Order: sequence, then structure tokens, then C-alpha cells
Amino acid sequence: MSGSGRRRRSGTIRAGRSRATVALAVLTGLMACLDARESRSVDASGDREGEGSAVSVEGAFALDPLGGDRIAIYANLVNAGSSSDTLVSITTDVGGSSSLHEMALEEGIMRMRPIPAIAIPAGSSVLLEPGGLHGMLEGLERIPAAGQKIRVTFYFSGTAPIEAVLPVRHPGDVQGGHAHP
Amino acid sequence: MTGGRPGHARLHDTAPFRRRWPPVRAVVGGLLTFLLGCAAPEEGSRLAIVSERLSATQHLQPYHMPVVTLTDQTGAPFELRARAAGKVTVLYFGYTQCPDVCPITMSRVARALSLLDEETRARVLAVFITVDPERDSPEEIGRWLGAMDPSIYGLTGSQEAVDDAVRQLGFLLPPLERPDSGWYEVAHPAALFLFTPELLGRYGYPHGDPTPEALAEDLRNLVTFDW
Repeated sequence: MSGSGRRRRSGTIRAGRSRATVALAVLTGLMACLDARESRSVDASGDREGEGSAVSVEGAFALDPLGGDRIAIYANLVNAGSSSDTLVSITTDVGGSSSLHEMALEEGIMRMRPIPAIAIPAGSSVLLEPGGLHGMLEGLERIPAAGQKIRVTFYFSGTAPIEAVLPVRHPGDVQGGHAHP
Repeated sequence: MTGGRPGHARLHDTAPFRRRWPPVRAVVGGLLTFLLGCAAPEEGSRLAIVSERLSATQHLQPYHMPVVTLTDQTGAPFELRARAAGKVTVLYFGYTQCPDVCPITMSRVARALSLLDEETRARVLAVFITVDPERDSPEEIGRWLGAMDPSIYGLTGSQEAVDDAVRQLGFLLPPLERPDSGWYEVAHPAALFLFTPELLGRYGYPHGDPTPEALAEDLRNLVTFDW
């Protein structure tokens, strides 16, 4: 999925919500809660859920690809709403096709697996961080470097897309990281 | 040295050994510690002192530096044991398309190396070995390491040679299945290994994530130790 044409102009890092959406969320709250249980498992197809979700993207950054044509995207995805949501894809202004990955450390071996979506349960947050979950864009049209900024749009199953400007950080400047099991 | 000690022969008398197992175990443990202490009293305590100073985890069963000849980023052959002998070696396995842990780990290695004085740096060998040699040509590794520290050796070779090097350290990687196009999974050992000049991997960071300052300090300690 490389369609930069899907990008929407939201102007803010937080998804726009109307009072109507919130009211609807309250009305459908019970049903949404039931949905949330099921959608804890990764599922990209849920398009009914998320009416009550209110996802925001915090502390997002991209990792300097060091001249390579793929870039990893990290963020804290916060769902303050009453129903679960899922991150389904990412686009950027530097191109690249989107995929979502998880890293797993098993018996000293680090593995990376593609996953269809990243669930963000209601009232909680999911951290995309080095050594854990991340979004990745491969086959970049333009290769950014540390110190630059890129424009990234996060697409969710239940919330309007969120556009954010992300700093590109050199891997040597990334604190923490390496999710320890 | 082991013979002639009163009570030592009783270890072979299995029946009482089993019955009075816990106290006997304590006695055996004490005796072994005592004997080991006698064997190399200074060596043991010297090693314990340096180990205690390090941030790195000590491997009670040291790894042996793999016997392998690969190709560095300039295209020159690189015989790992010959090049590492007499140096403190930082060794990491990864791949250049690795999204985060590989560049983060190698960037930290690069930063740590930059913190060393010239004399210490000259006694440290930093080596990156790709586990995805088909995609990671010498040129590709050269570009990737060049963005961090070109003095780090980046090695590639045949898939068999790389897999064998990993296997010699006791890790079994899942086989790479490469579709004609698109994504494929690459697995690699997570650890950053530290080898002492006698080519023993006595220390390491299981998740490959020392801070540059901690790694630099560990390298200083290891370089100044008389192995």
C-alpha cells in the first residue's frame, strides 16, 4: 500500500472528533466493548469498531535508514476512547510501501514477523518501539537522514487518519529501545 | 592434587551420598571451590575482579571464537580467529535491512569506539557479520557501516559459512526462505559478544544494548587486563 493519495489533511496530531461521534460512542458503547474483546487479536478487517475510539499518536519518530531504502516508524498509540481500534497502515511523504512488524526474542534469537494490524485496546496505549512493534516503509522514493523531518499518516480501522511530522533520528541517538521480554 | 584428601574417596560411595544428599552436596561444593581456588588462586580472583567491574554479563561457559573466513566490506578475505587473536573483539550478527536493533546496536558500538583513546582503540576489533549475505554485499555493508563507523569490519560470505559461524556459537537460525520478490523474515542472535584476546567469548550483552559509555568502559577494562 503505497498510495500517498489516501492522505488526508487533518492539521493536528490528534484525530478530529465531533461531539456527535462521542455521543454515538456512548450509545454504542456496550456493543463496542463486546467488539473490543474480539479485536484484541490482530485483525485488520474491523471497520465497525472504533466509533468510540479516540486514538492519538504521541512521541512518534522515524529511524534514519542510513542510506537504505526502508524506514522504521515508532510511536505511542493512545486510545482514550471506549472501543478498541487498530492501526492498519502508514504512508509517508517519502514514499515506500507500508507494512507492520513485530519483533520477538526467542532463546537468544531475534526475529521479525509481519502482522496485519496493531490492536489498540480501548482505554490503553500501545508502544511502537525499537525491538518491539514498528511500522515500516520499504522502497522509499526519497531517503531521509537524521535531523530531517518526514510527514507520516497513520491509518486506523475506526478513527480518521492522523497525520504527523516526525523527526528522523540516528540509531545512535535512540534511547531505551530493545524491548526486553 | 585431587588424591589423598581425607573424605574425598567417599564421594564414590554412592549409597550414603544419596541418603545424605544435601549435606554431602555442600561438602562437595565446598571441596570443589577449595580445589579450584588452589589450582589458580590469583587467576580466579583477578578474573572475578575484572568481571565485577564490567557492565557485560559473564558467560560461565565462554564461547569460542568461530573458525570462519569471510569477506570484509572492501572485498578482502577476513579470517576471524587470526584477526581477533590478541585483541578484545566486539562481535555482532545482524543484517543491514534490520529495522532497528541492528543499526541501534552497531551505532552504540560505533559511539563506544569513538570514546576510546587511540591506544585502547588499537587493541579492540569490532566486527559485524551479516546473517543475510545474499542481500548484504560488501558494498551494501560498507555503505551501512560507513554511516556509523567505517573502522568496524563488516563481513559477508556464503550463507553456509555465515550459518556455520552462528552455529559454532550455539545458535540455530531458522532457514531463510526467499520469495522471488517481497519481504522475508531474517533472524539473528540478539546478543553482542565480547571476546578476550585468547578468543574466548567470556562476556556479552544478551540484548545487544549496552550504552556506549558502558561498552567503552568495559572495553577499557578488558584491554588493560593481562589475559
